[in-house]
Amino acid sequence: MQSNERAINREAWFGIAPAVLLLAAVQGYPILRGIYLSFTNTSLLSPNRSTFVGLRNFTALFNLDSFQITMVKTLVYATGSVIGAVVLGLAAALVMNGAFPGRRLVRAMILVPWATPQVAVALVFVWIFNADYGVLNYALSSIGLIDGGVLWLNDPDLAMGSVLLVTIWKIFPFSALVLLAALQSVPASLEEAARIDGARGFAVLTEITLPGIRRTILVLVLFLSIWSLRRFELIWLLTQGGPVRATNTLVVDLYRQGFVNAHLGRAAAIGVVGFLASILITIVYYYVEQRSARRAGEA
Amino acid sequence: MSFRKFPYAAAIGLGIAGLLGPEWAAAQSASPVTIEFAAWQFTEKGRGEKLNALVDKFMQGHPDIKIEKVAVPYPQFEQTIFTQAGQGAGPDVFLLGDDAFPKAVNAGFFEPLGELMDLPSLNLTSVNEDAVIDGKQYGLVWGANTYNLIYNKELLSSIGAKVPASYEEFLDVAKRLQEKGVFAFAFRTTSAETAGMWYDVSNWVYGAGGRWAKDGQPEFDGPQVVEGVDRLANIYKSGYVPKGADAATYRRMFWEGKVAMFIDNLSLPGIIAAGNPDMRDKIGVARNPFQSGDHASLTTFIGINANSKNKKAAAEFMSYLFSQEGQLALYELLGGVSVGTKLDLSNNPLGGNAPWLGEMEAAIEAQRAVSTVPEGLAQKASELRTVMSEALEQVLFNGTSAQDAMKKAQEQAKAIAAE
Repeated sequence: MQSNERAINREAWFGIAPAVLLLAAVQGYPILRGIYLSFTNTSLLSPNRSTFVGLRNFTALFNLDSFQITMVKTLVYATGSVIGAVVLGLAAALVMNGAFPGRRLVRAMILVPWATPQVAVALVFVWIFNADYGVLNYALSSIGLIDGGVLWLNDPDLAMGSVLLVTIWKIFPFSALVLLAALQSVPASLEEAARIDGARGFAVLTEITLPGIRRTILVLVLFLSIWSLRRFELIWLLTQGGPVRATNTLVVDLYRQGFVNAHLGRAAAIGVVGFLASILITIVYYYVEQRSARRAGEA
Repeated sequence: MSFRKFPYAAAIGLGIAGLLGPEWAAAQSASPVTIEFAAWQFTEKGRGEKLNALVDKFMQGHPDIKIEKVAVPYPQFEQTIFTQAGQGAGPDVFLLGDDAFPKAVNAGFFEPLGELMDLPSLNLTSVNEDAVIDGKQYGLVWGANTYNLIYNKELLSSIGAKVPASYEEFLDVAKRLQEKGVFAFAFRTTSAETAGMWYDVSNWVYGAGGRWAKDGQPEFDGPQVVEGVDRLANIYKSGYVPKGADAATYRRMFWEGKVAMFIDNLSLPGIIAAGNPDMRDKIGVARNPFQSGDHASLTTFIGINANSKNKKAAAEFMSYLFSQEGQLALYELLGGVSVGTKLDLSNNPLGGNAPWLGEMEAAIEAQRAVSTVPEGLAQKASELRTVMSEALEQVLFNGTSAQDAMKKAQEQAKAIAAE
């Protein structure tokens, strides 16, 4: 029995070996190389000449006030975009899950932001947000909500909100699709039974539907969080991390250090911090997942 | 293929080659050498077409050299070149601004030109000496550009104003233009264009008599520097400028008659006239409205990549660019900006197409050009640029006083300079 199991294990290892080797080459090596760079003073101008500097890049980073601001901004951006995308995605999924005329058209249309290239989205929103000629200011002043040009991308108090708005608009269709698939796996009979027992719409949602798709939401939150830490193009094209670092997330800081200031070592140190943050999020996810699995088992 | 069949295959191959004839064989042996030439002007309307035509003309006269045009937009140009050249690759011939050039030479990206080109025969201007490092000529001047006041003659005469010659006159004209419902002035007021912000604010700082650095020591909190930043902030806060505008936006607004004045490099009049021919006779160029008489300059150099495998062909292309024919074409392409050689302009290729030329030359004569590269800190220019841009953002968007913002910027600049 044991030797049979060993043979199966060996076969399994052979089966997954190509994938493991591929991942080691295209993921593992760059990660290790990045970690190594973070302990050196490598410059973009001469990446093959570097000196080991120990923890100097990390101590320099954490001694900077601006890096602490960057960490806070990253947290705000990641939290805001994940909550926004999940809530809006859930609302869209609930709508799309219902039966109504034109449902197929709505499902197709809701995907448009997800399918639009990020560069195009950023350029369009730069125009929408333009203080003097943007359609947003025009619309808001037409109905008397604002007086004069609001600097959506250049006011430090508004820039993060504006960037979050664009991000959520861009990514919520992904949440909607994932959650729609999950909603369709919730047995309709459970919801019907709840309604027969007198439960109303919101109660059905919170007591039956949401618990039914809880695991999907958790996975979705995990992915969206990690992607938020890595999102670059939208923020860079909209604000380049400004004004006054108001939208300066980790990855924007990494790009500036690496490709504007040519300090690859420092950029790699920021990358390592981001990598550790991703691992932390994953650990939290597994902890929550395990706990809920245990609770489900007890129940 | 089995070894026995090999002679038959070889015979068939030779037979086909014989049928194709000697011309085919000659063409194969004389296939052109390919070199890459990177310039941001390829991406620009007006200048892009002219640069394409110039390169095509070279290839017509040199069938043994094929040039692949590498078009990278200006905001990404420096980073793209640094990334590629740092890896031992990159285009064979490329441009770089004077703020990035010393860094690139220091990193070994440029090949000395002395042994590749007959430099003494080129009739080079003295500005080319800026590209001599440790006695070696690493690049040649592509264009020596300066920043001057570009204005809409029609808008200024509509309020009965003459071109402002001082900051006080500028404020007066700006107020009257605002009353007419026109933006008096424009500069980059978006954090998405920090590199360009540096050039904009440099003119105001130099106009007030300030300098970014002296003998390798930053002077970001010098009184004249603070005054220049404060003046620019005052213009912004008074509502004389379109807020949140990038360069492309305000330049378009200028050619649509919505902005009356801006300070920019002297390639702009030609670009604007190409975008809107109706503007051609309305464009005026004058010295900046500041007493000091100092204005910012931006010299662009062209050189040969030290990693190039075809340096000889690259040098041949460079020699063509610095011939009288190539230089006249460049002069026209750059809209009358000084090129790298002393040109005979008896047959000015711009002719009547650039009615602003006379004013432009007078403006250049009346001012002293000062590089935007902090003196003695060329290797740190990009980091200092980031510090300055953030300080300007603090003043414009956060209400911080110019004094406080520049004091903090000075601390950061000193730390960078000391690294």
